[in-house]
Amino acid sequence: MNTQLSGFEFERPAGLPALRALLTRLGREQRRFAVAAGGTDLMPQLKQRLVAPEVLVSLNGVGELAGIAVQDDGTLRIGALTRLADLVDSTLVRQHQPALAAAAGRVASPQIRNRATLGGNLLVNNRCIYVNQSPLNRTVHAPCFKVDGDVCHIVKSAVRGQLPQCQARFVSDTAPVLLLLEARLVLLRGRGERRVPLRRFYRNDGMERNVLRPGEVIGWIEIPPATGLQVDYDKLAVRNALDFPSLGVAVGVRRDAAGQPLELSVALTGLGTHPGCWRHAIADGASLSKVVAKACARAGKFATTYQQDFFPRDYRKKMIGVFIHRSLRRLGV
Amino acid sequence: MSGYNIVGKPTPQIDSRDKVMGRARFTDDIPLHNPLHAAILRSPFASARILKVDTSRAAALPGVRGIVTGADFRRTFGVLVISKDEPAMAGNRVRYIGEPVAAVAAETAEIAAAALALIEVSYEPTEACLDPRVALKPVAEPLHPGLGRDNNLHKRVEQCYGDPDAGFAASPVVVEKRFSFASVTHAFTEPHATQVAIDGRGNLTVYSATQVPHYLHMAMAEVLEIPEHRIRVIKPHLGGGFGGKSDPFPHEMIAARLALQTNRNIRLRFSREEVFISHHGRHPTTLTMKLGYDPQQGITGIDADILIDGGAYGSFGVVTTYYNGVLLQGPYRIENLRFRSRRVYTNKPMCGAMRGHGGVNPRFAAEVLLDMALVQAGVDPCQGRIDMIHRPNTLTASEFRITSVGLKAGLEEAMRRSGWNEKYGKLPYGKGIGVACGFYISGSAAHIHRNDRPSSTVRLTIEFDGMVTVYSGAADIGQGIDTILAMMAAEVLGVGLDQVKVVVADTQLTPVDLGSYSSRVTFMAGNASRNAAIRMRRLLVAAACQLLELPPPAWEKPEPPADYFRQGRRSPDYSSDYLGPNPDYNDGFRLANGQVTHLGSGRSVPYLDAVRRALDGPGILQTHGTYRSPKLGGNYKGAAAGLSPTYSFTAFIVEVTVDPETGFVKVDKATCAHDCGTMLNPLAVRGQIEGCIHMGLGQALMEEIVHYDGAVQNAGFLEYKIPSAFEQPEVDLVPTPSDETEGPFGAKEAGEGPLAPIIPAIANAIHDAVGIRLTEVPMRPDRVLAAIRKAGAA
Repeated sequence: MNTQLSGFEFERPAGLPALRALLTRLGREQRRFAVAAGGTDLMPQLKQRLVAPEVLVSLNGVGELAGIAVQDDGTLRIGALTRLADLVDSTLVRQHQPALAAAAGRVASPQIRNRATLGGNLLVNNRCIYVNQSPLNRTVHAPCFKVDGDVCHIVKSAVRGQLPQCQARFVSDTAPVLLLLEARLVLLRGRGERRVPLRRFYRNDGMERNVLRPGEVIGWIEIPPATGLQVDYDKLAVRNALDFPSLGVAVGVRRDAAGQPLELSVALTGLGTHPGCWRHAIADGASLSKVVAKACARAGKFATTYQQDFFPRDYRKKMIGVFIHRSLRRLGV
Repeated sequence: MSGYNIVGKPTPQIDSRDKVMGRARFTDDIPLHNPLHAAILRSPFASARILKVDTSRAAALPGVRGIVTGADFRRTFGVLVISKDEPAMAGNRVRYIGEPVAAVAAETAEIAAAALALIEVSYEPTEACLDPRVALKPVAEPLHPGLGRDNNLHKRVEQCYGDPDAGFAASPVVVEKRFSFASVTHAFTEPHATQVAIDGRGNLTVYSATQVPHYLHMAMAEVLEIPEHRIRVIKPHLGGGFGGKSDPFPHEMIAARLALQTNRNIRLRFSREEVFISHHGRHPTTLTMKLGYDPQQGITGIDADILIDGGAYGSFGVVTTYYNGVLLQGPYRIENLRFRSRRVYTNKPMCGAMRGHGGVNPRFAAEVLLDMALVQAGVDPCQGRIDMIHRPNTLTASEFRITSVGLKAGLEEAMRRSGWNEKYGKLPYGKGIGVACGFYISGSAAHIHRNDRPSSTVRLTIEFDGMVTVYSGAADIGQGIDTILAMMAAEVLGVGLDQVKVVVADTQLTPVDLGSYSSRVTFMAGNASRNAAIRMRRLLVAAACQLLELPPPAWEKPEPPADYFRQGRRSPDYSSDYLGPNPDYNDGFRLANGQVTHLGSGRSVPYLDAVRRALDGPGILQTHGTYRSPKLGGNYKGAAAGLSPTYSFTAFIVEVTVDPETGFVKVDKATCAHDCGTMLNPLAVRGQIEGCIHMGLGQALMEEIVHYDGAVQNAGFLEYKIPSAFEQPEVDLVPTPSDETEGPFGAKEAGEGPLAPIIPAIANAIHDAVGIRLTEVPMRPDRVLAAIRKAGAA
């Protein structure tokens, strides 16, 4: 059976100006193109014919987009092309944002982390057991919305145009941590750039997944200094390696100088079409356990969870509270 | 006899360096001259009539050289003579999603893929039968109408030994539960691949990733309707089988047919998805089992009702149907056993033989029920089991001949080393320890094809340079039989392993061996190699006697050992074949260190001198060795199922941590006592047992094929979850001494037996940890958690 790539043109711009020029040209010529950094998410989609670009643009020659630095104001600036393995090993990241290093270290396997990038993990395509399949499997079942069909095998009553159109689930391990860290994305397009807070980046749909415009790429991820904020991340997965999160839970606690908790925050991945993120202020003298209960209840209501994973939906929902409590214990709350 | 030079020493496999260095050639690595690339078009329907296959547009595509469809094959095939129900390509109907419908051979793989898209098949979908319970009900159109049934039943076996009902009635403890087991697959590393070379006379050389070159050879001749002598089958290095390559396969027939049609060499390789679609894995099973127990008598009865889902075709399924019942006769004494076992056809990829064939799922049920019974009776689960283990040299209920049994001492040692008495029932909530035992055949005594030829034959030569070559049809699939064959010869002939070459699994060069299945090869081909080497040793000793001017030894036929266990008046192969039981060379010579030494006088001649003297007359130095099973078993229908010349025995003590909030089970440690007789190569035995643990862990905790409308929905290693290295527990292998009279140097099997008991041992440890009994496998965290919550609520 065919597992070869279909033909495409290959471009590997050397440096940021060349990349900007290339993307502008491709946009002007209305070419169908795909951008690859590590390629670990894109390659299987190419092999399964889920995407069929005319031009494949490799970012691997754009050295400007790799690297980690702390700016004068304490902002941690990470190039989108930074490999996850480098993030895991980075002293700067471990020192400033250990939860990000930890989350990056939970992605896939060492081989994949050597290749996959932080920008790529934020853009990892939503997954569905009815879409991420071979052409043969997709011929067996009627084609669904995400492959230009007219049904959804998960929500059988879905009709075209109704949002969310597609229930393919969001599976980035790093996004929930970056959400709690209030990260911003620097998006590059043409000669310009814009900053978008990560919390405004994702959309509630498995197909139109985010606000990235055609020809736009993530340049950098900026994380403001997180005074008093501690974050913990854990994921539910069958194995201790390789798996996408069946559920990923990031929990943050912000404390004042005296160590009193001021705010509890929770972000989820792996459940719905996009990551969920909530903050709960802890008022003076408020009962912490009440706030925790509220946070668990809110997170539990986050997404309509569908049966599209190794674990049944009810089980995944049940685990949200368990994971939040465990994170809080690790955070000393 | 002890003091071996080679046997019993941990020995890296003789091809390990080539494999590690990337020099070993697997089927798809073999460079044939200018091959055509073959690709297979597969059915998108689980059940449909094929109205028309139009290949004209594909044939017109430049670069396409050959196309075959169901019309090119007249004969069906199957590994078992009794169920040859599989076509190489679908004819007028398809029976599962992914069934081959047409195939193309083209100058490049790209052209072949493009051509497939141009083949137009008109299907008329028919109602698919996907549920094994529905398969038992009458249908308008059964999958295999030739059987003359009005439903999709394939095979039904009912047997009863003793009186289980009387046993239950007299038992203080009777337990009964219903169990279900998901579909699991082999997950071997190397995907199926076949290459076919054709010569100017139309002779085929078939390179294939197969466990059964001999069966492939015969099936291919039958399906292609050409004489067997026109086909040569070669099994190159092979990356794992576990039973998933122990049938002749449609793709092998397709590649050969394309070679004949195009007169060109053919290259065919599977994607991982195609491997999942071809499947032949463990049957999804539902079974209800009842077990009676009496502390004084042991197991007083077992009654089992078993339904296995076979998928679209037969494969080994008839054997599986029997094994699900008859393999309940050990490792414990059971007088009263009744089972009803049924295999049905459904419109899904077919199931077949998979490591521990047929014995794994019923073993789980029996060991969980036994654990419940022992707990209810207040008997220690280890001690209670030890008291019931078969004694050596006995017959089971259906007349299996049990010979050596070393499990009792092994399990006692495992109890000590695991700290069983200090841990069982005494660990904190969430920590548990559990035990389970099993047994398994060491090769099937009965042949699939009825004939009087040996099960294994080995040819052995020595050249003028002293190099020993072992020729065997046995198929090394990674388990290390090539090394065992060499070790047997080296031990008997007193040479180093570096002085033995093996030529294997090439039907032109090597005598027949039936293949790598039923855990038969070390036992049977190992015996054949040992016997060939003993004959060779006699030629060398005779030559040495000439050089030393001594009379040759008499080589009197040795008597079977005093404890040799005969069933009826039946006798082992060697009693008719003048070679003694475990090895007593009876020649008064020592072969070692390059010398052939007469023990009586202390005089010696160099090994090479003896070789050259032996060559003087005949010019060729060649012997053969064989193994055939003694005739065993009772005289009734089905008596042959599960008969083996000997059986291995295994016990596992497993320690787990269960997370009561998430239901996750972590296996911390596995202590294994495996009675494989003499460990010929302890390194290989360890590898097999560690592999069994890893594979068992997968079935126990996570593996499960998911179907959606008959399609395999997780046909890849991202979504079909096999454990990673992180999940592998600490392993302690406990010495389990036994000596198998009939095995080569006392050996029995080690490749399959250790798989079955690890799974119920985990279940029983989970019970010790959190007090739940799970009856659905895999024991996924959500199932564990649900059971914990249910137990808490109760």
